[in-house]
Amino acid sequence: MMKKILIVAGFGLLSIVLQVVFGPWLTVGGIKPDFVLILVLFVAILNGRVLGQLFGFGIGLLVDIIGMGSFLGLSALSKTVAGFLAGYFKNRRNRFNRLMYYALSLLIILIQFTIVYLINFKSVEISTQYLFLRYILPETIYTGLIFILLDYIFAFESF
Amino acid sequence: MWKKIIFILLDFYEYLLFIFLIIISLLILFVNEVPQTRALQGEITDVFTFVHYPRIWIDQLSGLIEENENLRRENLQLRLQNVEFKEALIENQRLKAMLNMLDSTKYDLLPAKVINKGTTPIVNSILLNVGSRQGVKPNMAVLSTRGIVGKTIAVGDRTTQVQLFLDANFRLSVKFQNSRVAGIMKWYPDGRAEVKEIPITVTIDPGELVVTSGYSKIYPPNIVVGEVIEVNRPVNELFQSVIVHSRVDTDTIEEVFIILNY
Repeated sequence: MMKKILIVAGFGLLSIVLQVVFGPWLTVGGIKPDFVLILVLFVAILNGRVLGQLFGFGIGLLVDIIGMGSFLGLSALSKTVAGFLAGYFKNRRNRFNRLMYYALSLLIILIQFTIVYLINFKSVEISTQYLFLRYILPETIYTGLIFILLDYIFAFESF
Repeated sequence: MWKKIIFILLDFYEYLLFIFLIIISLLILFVNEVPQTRALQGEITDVFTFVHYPRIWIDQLSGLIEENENLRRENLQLRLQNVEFKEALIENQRLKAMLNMLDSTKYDLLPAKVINKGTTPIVNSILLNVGSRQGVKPNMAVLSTRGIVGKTIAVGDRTTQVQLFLDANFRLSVKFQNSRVAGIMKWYPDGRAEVKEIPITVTIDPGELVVTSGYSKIYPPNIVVGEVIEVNRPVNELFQSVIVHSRVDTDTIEEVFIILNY
């Protein structure tokens, strides 16, 4: 168990470094992929809700603290939700066909970004429609595509 | 009875843990602005500064590659264009601008390098390579040679987190240089800044410079904020709104100054 925690923590730090190093290079139209979220999804899918949400909370809080997030606690909140929801797929992936699995994964990513942007801009007079079309949806698609690509390549848990 | 409750709790422990973590996250969100929280954040940021090292290293490496390419081009083009000189000229101009700024102000300015820009599409904060060891404290004004950049929020021994003016919650008391009228400026995620509720009787023209008002405990007066690009004067209304464009480009910003003594 200890070994598993150390491996997951190591991957967590690696995802943050990836975010810092490659995030700016992979920016398209101001939209960046969220590598940390992708890792939270994989950890949750492979290990279930408990580890998924604990990892999401821990890594989210770290992201907030080291100045990569917005508000302190916001990434912790959104990634806890993502970890909890994605944890449902543990041992249940085979119940869904591939398309449905990826659609639900995208929905989890969408929920995560919706939480981030709605709280981040709660005090700003800006339409939800603008936020959704300009930031939430593009970032969901960008992060989602990378998630699907990695999931497809590594086939962590075969269908 | 107690046994039953414990069994129910064990049945739903995943959900209970979820609720617990959500409550903790919300509590942290609510204590965001508490100085102790920011101080703790600064200290932890210091510990994890190493995550930025690869980026800094790659930036330095890519800089060397660029210089090498420039020198080869110089040889090939037989002095048609000395790229290295051009680079030095640009750097010289930039440093001159910085020195002029240091000379021309009565404030004690601390130069700092940007070592990280946030990961969200909208850059809310940047991380600087200076901290409390250099005299930085929370709520100090941060500026560049082009104008206001933001304010310090979390200060560690060696690093400082800066809330950028682009942050959704950033407000700045400003005045218009010619018309002298003051107002509160707020920024939108698309990069526009707006000053609302300016009396319609005041004449403001596009191109007018916007500076800090000096009514703040953080920002000294007459620091450039941006310039007016649009004036909205609704008919039959008492107030007008003004759209302002900042001269600071947060995407390319590399060096800033912190005002230590205001």
